[in-house]
Amino acid sequence: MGDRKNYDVIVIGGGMAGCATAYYLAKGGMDVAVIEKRAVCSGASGRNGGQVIQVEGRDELTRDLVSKKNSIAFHGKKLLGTLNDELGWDVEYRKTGGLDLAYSDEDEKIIKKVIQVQYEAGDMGVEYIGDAEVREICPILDEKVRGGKLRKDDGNANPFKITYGFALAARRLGASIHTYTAAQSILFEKHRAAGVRTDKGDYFAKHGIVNATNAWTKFLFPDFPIVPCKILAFVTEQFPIIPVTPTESVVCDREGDAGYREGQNQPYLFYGGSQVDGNIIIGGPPVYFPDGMDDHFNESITYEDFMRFKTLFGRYWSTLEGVSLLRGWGGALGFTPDALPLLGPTRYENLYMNAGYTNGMCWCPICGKLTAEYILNGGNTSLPVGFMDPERFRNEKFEWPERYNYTVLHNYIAAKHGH
Amino acid sequence: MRIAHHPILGDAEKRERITISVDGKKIDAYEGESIAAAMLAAGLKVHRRTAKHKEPRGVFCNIGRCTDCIMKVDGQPNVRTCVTKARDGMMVESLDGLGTWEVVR
Repeated sequence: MGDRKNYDVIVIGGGMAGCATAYYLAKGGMDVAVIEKRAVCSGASGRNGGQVIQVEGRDELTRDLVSKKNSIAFHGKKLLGTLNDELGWDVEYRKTGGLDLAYSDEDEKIIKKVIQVQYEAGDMGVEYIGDAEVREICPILDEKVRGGKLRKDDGNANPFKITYGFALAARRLGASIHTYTAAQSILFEKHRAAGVRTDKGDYFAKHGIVNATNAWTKFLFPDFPIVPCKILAFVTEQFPIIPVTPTESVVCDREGDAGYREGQNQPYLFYGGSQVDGNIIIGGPPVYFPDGMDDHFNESITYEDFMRFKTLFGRYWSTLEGVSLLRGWGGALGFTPDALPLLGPTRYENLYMNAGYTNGMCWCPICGKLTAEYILNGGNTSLPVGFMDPERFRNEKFEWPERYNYTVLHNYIAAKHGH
Repeated sequence: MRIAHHPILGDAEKRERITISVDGKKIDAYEGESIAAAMLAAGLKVHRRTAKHKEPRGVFCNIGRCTDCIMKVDGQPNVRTCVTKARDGMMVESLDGLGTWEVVR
């Protein structure tokens, strides 16, 4: 396949969004190439905790945002359930139920308010349950937990199985996957995107070029407001499967903790869930050094990061005190100013976006399908995608915080769009 | 079986006798020895069965490194019995595969 240079569509990025887009395009009869700087699934797609969470977040959620998210994520979850047949292997999608935990009165108030917002947006899939019920379904938790939001059909999936499943299925349909090929710039003919310049030569596309590079978007398309944000994950030794997982909770470092910084301490999201083999993946933001957070593409962890999550295990999931963490790593999410992805056509003819994900598992497969539909059917998609228009910020100027982490970006979005 | 008189190490020192429960069966142990040692003396060699093939596993490295001898101890799974001292009244259970969690009361 190596020396061909002309295709119908070129997808830049070999993660979950890119491989899904390539698969659905190939299924629709297109001659597709995927261009990936490293290996398939080597970015955020292969670095997340595998959580399938239909609507994540707290403070930034409004009725409008919840219904927009649900209009895609709900169908994304349904699509996940059909992928075993579609891709020919088990993507390890399990509907285990998911929790957002309350550890204080404040938490409880916020979570109940979020549930109210979700109900008002017509999302009846969530409920608030008390501490006894939480501990019954998630026995690793101790008496410190006060209750939480339960969504019964959230769960886990294996992002590697999904991404590689799409990549291999696309290849069976004739798609070319060029790994270790770095896209350097887009080749324009007037206002039409005609090709991609890479370190292995130029590639040309007749019917479209799709950006599926998520957090890396700014290097190729600085005009589109997606900022990268580093987040960490750690994997533990094998344990009995936790019946209900994933769980999320908002926590804060205390004096004496590895992550504690006097005067700049802020609450952050701590997440975790069992994998099918019994390993638990947990994660959250790196220890917040305002000066150290300028490289969100640094995929390594520090000793302080390791100690933060070790401490959190003992404090919040005390049954797992003394747990062995096998490995830890970092990965970059892609944030947009309104917490919704950029999907669809751009100001340049033939150039499409499918990027800007902070919660890919429910989104990337369906959004790959919708992007492919858009290109195959001349703008017609099976679900409305207009609200994800990549040009919706064209006339706005964004002052992103200069130094930020996950919490800072969420607060920024909440201040801009939230209550 | 226990060695009371050793040709080189001499006589076993007198220690307090305690009782632990392994899968519901009460066995004798001595204060200060590991769970694995007490089980070996009682002739219990299978500590758990593997998740996929249900093969038996027991003491292998005996220095806390290999995790082959892990069991559920007082409700806590993944406890390395070779480096965990027996305590009177301890409830030890073998693990079938990964085992299950119990609600912490």
